[in-house]
Amino acid sequence: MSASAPTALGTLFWLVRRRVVGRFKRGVRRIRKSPRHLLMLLPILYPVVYFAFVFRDAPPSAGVTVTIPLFVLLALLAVLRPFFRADGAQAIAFTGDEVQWIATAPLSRPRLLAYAILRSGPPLLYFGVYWSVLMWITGVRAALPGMVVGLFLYGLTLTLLSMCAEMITALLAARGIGAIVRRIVLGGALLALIWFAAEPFRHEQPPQDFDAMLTWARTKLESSASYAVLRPFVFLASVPSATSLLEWLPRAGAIVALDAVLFLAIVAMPVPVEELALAGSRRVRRARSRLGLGGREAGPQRRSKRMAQRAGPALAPEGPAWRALLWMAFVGAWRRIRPSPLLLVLVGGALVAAIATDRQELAGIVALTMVLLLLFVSLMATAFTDPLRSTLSGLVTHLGTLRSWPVAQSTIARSFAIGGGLALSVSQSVLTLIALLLLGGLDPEWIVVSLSSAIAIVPVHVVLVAVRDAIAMTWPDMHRPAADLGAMRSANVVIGLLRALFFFAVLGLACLLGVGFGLALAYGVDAPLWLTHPLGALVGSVVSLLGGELFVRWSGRRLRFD
Amino acid sequence: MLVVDGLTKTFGDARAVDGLGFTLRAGEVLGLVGPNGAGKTTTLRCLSGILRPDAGRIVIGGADMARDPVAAKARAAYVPDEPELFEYLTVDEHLALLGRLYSVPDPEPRAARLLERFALIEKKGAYPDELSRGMRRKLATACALLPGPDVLILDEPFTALDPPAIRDLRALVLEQAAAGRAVILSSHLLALLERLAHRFLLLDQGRLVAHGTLAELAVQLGQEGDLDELFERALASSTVDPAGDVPSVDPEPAPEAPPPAESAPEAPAEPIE
Repeated sequence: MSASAPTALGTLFWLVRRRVVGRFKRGVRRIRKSPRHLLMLLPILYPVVYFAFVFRDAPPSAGVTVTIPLFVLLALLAVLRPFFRADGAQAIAFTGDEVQWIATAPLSRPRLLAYAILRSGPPLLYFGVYWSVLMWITGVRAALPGMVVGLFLYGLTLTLLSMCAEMITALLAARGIGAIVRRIVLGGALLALIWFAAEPFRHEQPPQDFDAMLTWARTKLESSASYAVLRPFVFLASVPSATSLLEWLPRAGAIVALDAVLFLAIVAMPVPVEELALAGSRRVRRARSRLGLGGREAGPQRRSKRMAQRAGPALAPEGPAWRALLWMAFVGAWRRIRPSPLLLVLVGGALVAAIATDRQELAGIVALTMVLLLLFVSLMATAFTDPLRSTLSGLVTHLGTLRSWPVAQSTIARSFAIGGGLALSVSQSVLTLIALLLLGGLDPEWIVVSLSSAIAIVPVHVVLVAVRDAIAMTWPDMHRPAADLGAMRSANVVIGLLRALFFFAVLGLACLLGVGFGLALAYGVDAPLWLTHPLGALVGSVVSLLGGELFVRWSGRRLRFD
Repeated sequence: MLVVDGLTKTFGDARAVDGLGFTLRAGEVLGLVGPNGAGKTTTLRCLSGILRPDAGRIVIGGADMARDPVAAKARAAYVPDEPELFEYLTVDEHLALLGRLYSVPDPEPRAARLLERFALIEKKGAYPDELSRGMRRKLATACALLPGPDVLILDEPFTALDPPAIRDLRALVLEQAAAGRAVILSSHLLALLERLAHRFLLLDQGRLVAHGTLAELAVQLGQEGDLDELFERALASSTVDPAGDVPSVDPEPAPEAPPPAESAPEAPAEPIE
């Protein structure tokens, strides 16, 4: 038994429709159950408010000036990204359920591909409506339905281009042409493109006026040889902003024709769709895992191998359970932190600058940049470690032991915050020490200052991990393995913002009190720097840890083993 | 019902399945046995049409998977080790989807019977995350059975099931075989598999190590014993002889009788077609 073409497509359309309806119903049910889910609307509303604020006094042409280059850039990315990725694109990335039920169903290859396109319909429609609103806010005065359909067609073309690129990379891979060759060839082509695009700009100074400069830049770009490559993308991006039906209709018609050709090309390429779908489902799983959803879903094998290669203590320490927990958190976080090549370059650069030149300012600038980047890297590093909730869930699933451990919930949260914070701060403390010594030299007083600063890095990271875990505990459905990827990405934006907000609030207060105390000592009793700095750092650290303790208790109250 | 000939599948340099060949007849239960990484899941994925073999032939109910994948897939149903369900479809919508995809004539009564058979009738409006793990597996199995496939492919079906659920699933497999379906299943629970399957395929590193009924395996491996012991012997032979020259016999016709009566559960009075 197999469905005929219209029946099969009808069924697939029915599936897409039922999933949208089901998702809407579940969303409503979730919000009614817990209004905290309304927080998910923040990433959607934020750009609307932001655009409304930025473009409140802008001329009507500003929207087109901004959005068309943006859409051209997105289209270029859609085409180029699969060629640069080591493992192709995600255009045919089925989810696990789709692999199981759609890839094994009696559907022909064109119908499977049609499904891959069909299921992108609802997100594309959402994209069309959402960006139409944004474009309207920026002052683009095209007919709203035309904008929605135009953007839908634009998104559809991007999807097809991406699928086409993925198919080509798969064909190349089958012929032994891997990611390195692709990257070199395409990188060379891109450099050539940029070179030719930059040529007309070389011999002329841009006008001072911003609007005049934009017009000048556009004219120059259009006169370059590279514009021949960009022209189709500009045409594609211009469909939504067509202001009249006569202008819109031929453009939309051309895009529809292009989409039909792309679809036929995709169908004609001899690549096993089911295998791409299966490989894609693994990537989707990995993406979920990166978003902190992966506790129950065992991580990818590559990651396990990489982690196994990392050095670390072999056995947990004996003694109280909190020590074992702390060890576990430390080792877990330590093994997940990837050494940052950027930091190595910075350290190397700073050392070279300090040794090879007499210019202390240069070393100072490099060192200062390093210190600022450290904070950023720390914030990023928390994304590479599993939040406590995922870790616990994984433990309970696989070992089932944690519940039986004689430890209070807040002790678990505290051990994880300290262990994770320590792991994150080891390299940062060392690097801070190097940076500060480069900045101030090997004066004994400065060594004390550098050492106390390096030690003060630890409480900062403890707060960072404590805040991260507290939010992960509080955030609704943070750990649903089957959670929708797009929704989780939105959630992650909010989580990141909340994390930064709480973290900088605690850090700001600690800095304020620490620096205030140090200054009071310095000016009040005329204490030397080697005394004021460590004491100020101590006060700041204590305040940080107290702030961290608040979040630890918050986590402890919300800790659940289900 | 199922003919596999010279099946080979590689991933990069790794040869997951290497020249595997066997047949499966209607009413027969075939147990796929092997250590982790032996190629069991890859084999079953090739049979289900998810993976395309690099070489070899798969014929399901007369339809060649390479030449006519739609017809071949229409005759088979696959339930993986970790069944995945659509998060935003309810239980009855899952069955409706399968009914539509496979153009099942008059699917509602069949779906209702399956829901009743798997004790899911009360949950027909529930979403997958409202179901227990066992219920999710039952739903996946019900979906697989709805189109009435000729070949049922089950990958590690007993994983994480409690004893009543294992008994239930064992009964179901026998029931399906009695209804004339060919069943191929992989499992590490050798004692269970021994009482369920008519024949066994022993795989190691993608290659067929031994093949046949329990008695035939004993002859091939030169040792009496249960499946566990024979499996251990087969692996030892495979290690000693990397060429994998352990003789395997051509599959005999499916046994008329089901496995030993003392271990086989009673089939339900009304098997689901």
